[in-house]
Amino acid sequence: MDRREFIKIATYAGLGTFLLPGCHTARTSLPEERNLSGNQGNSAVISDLIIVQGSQPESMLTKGFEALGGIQNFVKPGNTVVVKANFSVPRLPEEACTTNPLLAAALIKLCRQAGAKEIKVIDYPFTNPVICLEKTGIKKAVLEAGGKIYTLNNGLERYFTPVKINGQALLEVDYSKDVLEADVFFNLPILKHHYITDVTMGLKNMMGLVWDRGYFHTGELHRCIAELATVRRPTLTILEAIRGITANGPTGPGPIQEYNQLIFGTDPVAVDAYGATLFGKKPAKLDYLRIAAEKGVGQLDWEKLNVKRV
Amino acid sequence: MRLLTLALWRRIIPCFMLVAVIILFWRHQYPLPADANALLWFSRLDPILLLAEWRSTGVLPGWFWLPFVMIAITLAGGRLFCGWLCPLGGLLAQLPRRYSRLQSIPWLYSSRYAWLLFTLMLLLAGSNWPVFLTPFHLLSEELFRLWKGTVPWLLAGILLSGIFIYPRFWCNHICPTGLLLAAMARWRSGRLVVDSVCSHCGVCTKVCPTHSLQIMAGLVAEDCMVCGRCWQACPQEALTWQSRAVKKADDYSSAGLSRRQFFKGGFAVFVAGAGWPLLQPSSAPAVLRPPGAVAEEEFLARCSRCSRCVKVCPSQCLIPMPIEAGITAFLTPSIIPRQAKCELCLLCQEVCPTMAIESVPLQQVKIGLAILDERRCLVWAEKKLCLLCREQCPVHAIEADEYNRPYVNNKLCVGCGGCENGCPLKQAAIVVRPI
Ligand code: SF4
Repeated sequence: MDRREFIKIATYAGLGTFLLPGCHTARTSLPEERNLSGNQGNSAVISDLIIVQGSQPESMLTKGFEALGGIQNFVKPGNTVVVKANFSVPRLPEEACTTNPLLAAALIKLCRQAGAKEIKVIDYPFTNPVICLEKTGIKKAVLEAGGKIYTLNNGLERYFTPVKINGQALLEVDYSKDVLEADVFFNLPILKHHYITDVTMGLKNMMGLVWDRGYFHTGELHRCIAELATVRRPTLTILEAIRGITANGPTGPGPIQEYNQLIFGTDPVAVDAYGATLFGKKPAKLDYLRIAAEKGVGQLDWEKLNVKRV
Repeated sequence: MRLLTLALWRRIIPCFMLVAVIILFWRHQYPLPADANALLWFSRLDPILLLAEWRSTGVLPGWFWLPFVMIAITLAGGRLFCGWLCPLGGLLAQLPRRYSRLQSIPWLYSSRYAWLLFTLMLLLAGSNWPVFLTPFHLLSEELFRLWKGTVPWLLAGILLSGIFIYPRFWCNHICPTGLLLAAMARWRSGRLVVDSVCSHCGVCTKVCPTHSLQIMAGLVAEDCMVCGRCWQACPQEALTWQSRAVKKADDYSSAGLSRRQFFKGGFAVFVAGAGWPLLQPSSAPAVLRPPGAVAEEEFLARCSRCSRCVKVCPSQCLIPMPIEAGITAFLTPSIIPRQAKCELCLLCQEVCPTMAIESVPLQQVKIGLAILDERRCLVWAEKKLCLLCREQCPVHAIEADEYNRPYVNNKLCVGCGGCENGCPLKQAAIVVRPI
């Protein structure tokens, strides 16, 4: 064998075998006060509780905001928007345990049309955040729509700031900085069963804005949830009751009920009270709702509100 | 021009393998990209892994042809795997060749086949520690150390030996794969041979990274990895590729290995190998293993400590066991639910190269069993509305009685540790125990 052959063997053998195989300054006054008063000024136009019927998240969202006089009533050009969605469990979108990615994406698009500077979608999953972001399909949807998305896990310093509550059950909590500093805070819960509180909606969704929620479970859970609702009132709660599980919540999977509704309201208690009725529960039977109403967070008797169905 | 091509390929192919292994290992993450399992296929080039798999399952896996191709190549032309495909070799081959007196300690060299025999005995007696020493597994584990920001001691040691003794010292003395292929290469049919025009200038030994040419000896040992450096360097063009078996007396390597030494080594190895099972701890420490892990004793035998499962785990619930746990358990993955729970993504099953973690559907996973201490549980003992364990349980194995007090449905519990991890008490009232 000569050199030429040697080269052939050496190179081909080698190759052949290889081929085998924001700098926001903290505000001193909470910004929702401004929004709230703004809304109240427009109360002639804006109904207090909007219930949109349908099964297409995008069109339902648009209809809802139309009934509220347009998204520009809530989002002003240059605003920072924070959306508290629910992607706490590693479930597929069709399993109806987490915020519908289409809904989140549609909300971001509307906010962008209204000129929002930045839209952040957040949650604090109690299971693995990386898996949640992927499996629920929400990360992909939000990024494609032009929003930001992240989880608050492992970020005590980065994402939380202490807030005094001086309640009976809660004295102080580490609360989401993003929410406190946002111009607009949309609470985007999904209506579904929950082992501990029977049903989870807007107020329960906001438990994901607190660092040490384990503490909630050691004390009076319902009172904690109610007192937490006094920290920052959402600019608007959009309760997703299109599809949701009626058992095995919050983790799922479970039997899915199609309610085909999207509920909009500036009164967080009223939205949840309506949702409870939808779920087949008396609102007053949910302790956290009752206590929150007593604390003046909102109206338990949702029928007293100006209800508009579209 | 041709020569340049060979020199270039000699760098490109092994470096490519090294970079590929690094990238593939790094890509062991959630969600696992499809290309990441190329690392699994690379690992399967290694006959040692085939032997380990055959030992543990008793059957030849579907990919058995791959190591057989490697063996065939070795029998045809020598240690081409070591010279051209091994990623660790690719790294070592880049080291400069120096002279060191350590490189030719005769007893060290002559006892290497005894060492090979010893590792093979260990393997067959039921320990995959020898697999750990093979390049794909060792590199994975050491890359994991780097990724974690800790010192890869072993890799550092191998590199130092390469710098201070000679580049392929590890490959010729410790690496079971290298030694196995070297043993086979003794019968190779094609090899480099030094013919009589040799002027004994010694240039070839200066460039040989494998220490397979000795000055004046004029012979190429079975350690030759066919890199072609000597062949290019020889001013006399004395090296030729010959496709014939050289007479045994010509073979330099056999000069260092007498029959008596061989038997001595063999006997010592046999004793050590037979004694190994006795060294195993009779009662293994009770730890939680990854989902799909085979029974503890067999798990300890199969796991090669490659750390790929630890790397891929998205919740980082798999933790390599410390040396304090004993040498048999050292570096094997375990779960400590209080630190992190298993999310049941089951990616560890996909990346494990040794069948230590088998592909088991979620319904059959039994990492352990949750046991609730009712005397301390907040709901039972203090009538609080806690139920965090129930919220956390992904398989709904925590049920509640009419007073909303939780209890564990043993049939459903997979032992992921979610409950233990979530329990808000300082010392969890619900604990997952291995079964
Ligand atoms: S169990 Fe993990 S460390 Fe052990 S061989 Fe399998 S993947 Fe490697």
